[in-house]
Order: sequence, then structure tokens, then C-alpha cells
Amino acid sequence: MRIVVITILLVMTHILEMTLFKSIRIGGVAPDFMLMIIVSFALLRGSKEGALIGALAGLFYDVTFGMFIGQHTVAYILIGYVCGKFNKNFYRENFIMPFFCTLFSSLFMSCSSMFIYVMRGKANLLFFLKALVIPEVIYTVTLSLVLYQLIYLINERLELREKKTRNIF
Amino acid sequence: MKLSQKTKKKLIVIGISVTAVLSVSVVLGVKYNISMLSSVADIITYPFKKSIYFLTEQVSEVTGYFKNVEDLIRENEELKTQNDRLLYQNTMLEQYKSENEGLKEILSLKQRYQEYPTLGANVIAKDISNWYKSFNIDKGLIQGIKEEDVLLSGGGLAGHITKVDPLTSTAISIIDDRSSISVKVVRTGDTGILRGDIELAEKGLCRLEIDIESEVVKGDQIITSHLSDIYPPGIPIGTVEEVTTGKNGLTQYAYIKPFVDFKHLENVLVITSDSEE
Repeated sequence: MRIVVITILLVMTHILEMTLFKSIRIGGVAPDFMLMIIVSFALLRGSKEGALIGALAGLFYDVTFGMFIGQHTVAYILIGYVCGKFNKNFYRENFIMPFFCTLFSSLFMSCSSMFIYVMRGKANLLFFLKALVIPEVIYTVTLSLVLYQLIYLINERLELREKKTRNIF
Repeated sequence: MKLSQKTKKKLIVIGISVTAVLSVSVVLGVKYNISMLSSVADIITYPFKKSIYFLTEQVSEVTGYFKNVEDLIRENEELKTQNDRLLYQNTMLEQYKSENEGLKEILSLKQRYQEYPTLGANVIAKDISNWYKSFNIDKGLIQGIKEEDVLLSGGGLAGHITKVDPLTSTAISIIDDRSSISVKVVRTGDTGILRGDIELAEKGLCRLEIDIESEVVKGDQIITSHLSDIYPPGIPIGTVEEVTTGKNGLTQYAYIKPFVDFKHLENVLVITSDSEE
């Protein structure tokens, strides 16, 4: 059940990001919805699930648009795993933790993209920061506050269902 | 974990069939050069992408229908006058054409601008990330598209195909940071390298690197050169917006405005390279 719901959620997000969400770009900058989903689930469920969801989400991107398989996959797995480590010591109703986790994860993703540009000899870091990194981080973090609530609800439903099935056996 | 005899048997059957299917698909994939993962993702996402594209098209058409009646009347008048002008130009061009053919026969030149087989396609998805400018079109391996086929749009060069899946294919536009093309300035005949640049991509421009002695000025037209492997020669790309000198004094940079509007790119024309092989 959980696997099906999360896979459908990821596939739908991926498709919407590619097609409809190009109209919500602000100044050509789009938020990273996959990142928000990964961070939220990792914080709610732990490192193992976070890393798995990260791998799936990263593969979606790498398979459709990536230059090679791995750039997004590895970065998302790392994010899922590290955010999952905070699972044990925070209250789920607390919104400061998702906020900071999304902030640093978004910065990490931007750094990994920037790294590839620097390797290709384009090291105009000031431009990258001003035009791409900071707008994306702000946009992603703002939307993550809303999306975290949504995923919190989905997770609550799923856990309720799992408890029921567990009681039967 | 203990399993009964029945479940064990079932598991073995499932395992064998899964490995058989996997190995067959891997062998087929290697043989016909199809990557498996992306094909699966492609087949899953294609119907959604296509239907969302179709829906947005329909909705915008319906709303646009009522909005644009006045515009259409005005546009109609403009087009009528333009039509007259074009008719006149057309007759002139007919004359030039016959004259040109006569001259070519005299020079016994080969037909350089041969007609390429083309295929129309829609842009159904764009790159998610903020760093690259690639896009998906709704024609793939089944329709006979190959890697490094060239895309045109609105009379100008749009990009080329980088990856082909069964139903869709991924293309890279000329303003993407990864793209570089060998081009020629029509007026002076100098060749240079046209690169996409991330700092200019948002404005829809790209940068031409050319020798310092070349006399490029604003308004010059740029076409693809005869040196390129991927692009056939003579495809128009854009016009020069601005010329600046490089830091080292050996090269100068010209900012090119492509004929294609990459922000509203919807339809493309694919030149399939069947005939060349």
C-alpha cells in the first residue's frame, strides 16, 4: 500500500513538473518538488525509506533529462539518508526541522549542479548565486512548509491503515 | 522466515520468469540500442504528458477564441495587405529562381540545398531543473527518429536530439549551456563557434566566438557552417545583437538572437537523416 501510494505520488509530481508547472516559474526559476517530498518522508519515516524514495525520485530525473544516471540519484539518496537520521529526535508537529532540512538540502542540490558547471570551466559563482541558487532555495523552502503538512496527512493515513492490518495478524 | 512448500515453488517460478523477462529485454535493448530504464519510464509517463499537453492546448484554444476576435479582424486586414505584397515578391522570386537555375547549369554546381525529409512534432515537456534547457518531443524510435537529428522551428534552428526512447525523445536547444555549433556569418563568410550560455539563456540569447579580425556588425545573419557533423549547412540561426571584444584580444564575442522563441516553443520540425546514409 505504502509503496504504491508513494510511487504514484512521485510519478505524478514528476509529470506535473515537466508539463504544467512550467507556468509557475518565477523569473525562470522553478521549485524542486521532489526534494520537498524526499525531505518530508525522510523526517517522518527514517533513513531507510528516505534513501529509497530519494533513489526513485532521482532516477526519474536522470532517466528523462540527465546527462548520465547518477547525478541526481546519488544526491537525493544522500539527502534522504541524512535527513532520515533526524527522524528519532524531533516532534512531528514541529515545523522548524523540515524548514532547515529543506534549506540545506536545496543548497546541497544547487552545489552539486554548480560543481558540474565549475568542472566545465564556468565558474561565475556570483551569477549562479544571484540568479539561480538563492531564488530556488527561497521558493522551495516556502512551498515546503505547505507540502510538509500535506505529506504529514498522507503519512498519518497510511500509518493508520498499517496499524489496522497489523492487528488482524 | 519459514515458507511452506507451495510458496517456495511459487517464488521459484516467479523468480525464473522475472529473470527470463529481464534477460530478454536486456538482450533486445543492447541489440537495438534502447536503454531499458528510460523506455519503461517513457512508456509510463507518455500518456500523461500527452494528455496534459492536449488539455492545455484545448483550454487555451477555447479561452483564446473569445478573446481574440478583434485581434483577428485587425490581423486579417494586415495579412491581406501583406498577401498582396508577398504575391508581388513571389513573382519576382520566380524570375530569380529561373535565372538562378540557368546560372547554376552554366556553373554545373551540385544541388547543395537538397530537400531533407521532415517530420512535425510537438514539445510536450520541458526540463525540470533551472540549470539546463532541454525538452521532450512526442515522436520517438517508432516514428523513425534517430540520435543527432536536427530540429527546426519557425524557420530557424532549434536544437538536436540527444536521446531517443520508444515514444518520445529528448532534445537539447541551442541556448542550453551544453550546446555548441559551428556557424558562419553570411555577409563576411567567417566561421565561428556558437555556444549556449547559462547567463544569457534566460534572455533567449547565445554567444558567438569569432576571430578578432572578422568584421561582424549588428544585424548580420548567422547560418550553420559546412564544417558541422550534426547540422546540415545553410540553416538560418539568428541575427547579431551586439559585438564585444574578448579579454585576451584574440577573439571577439557576438551575442546572437535566435529566430526561435524558446520560451514559447511548441511545434518543431525534425529533419530525419535517413537519406544521407
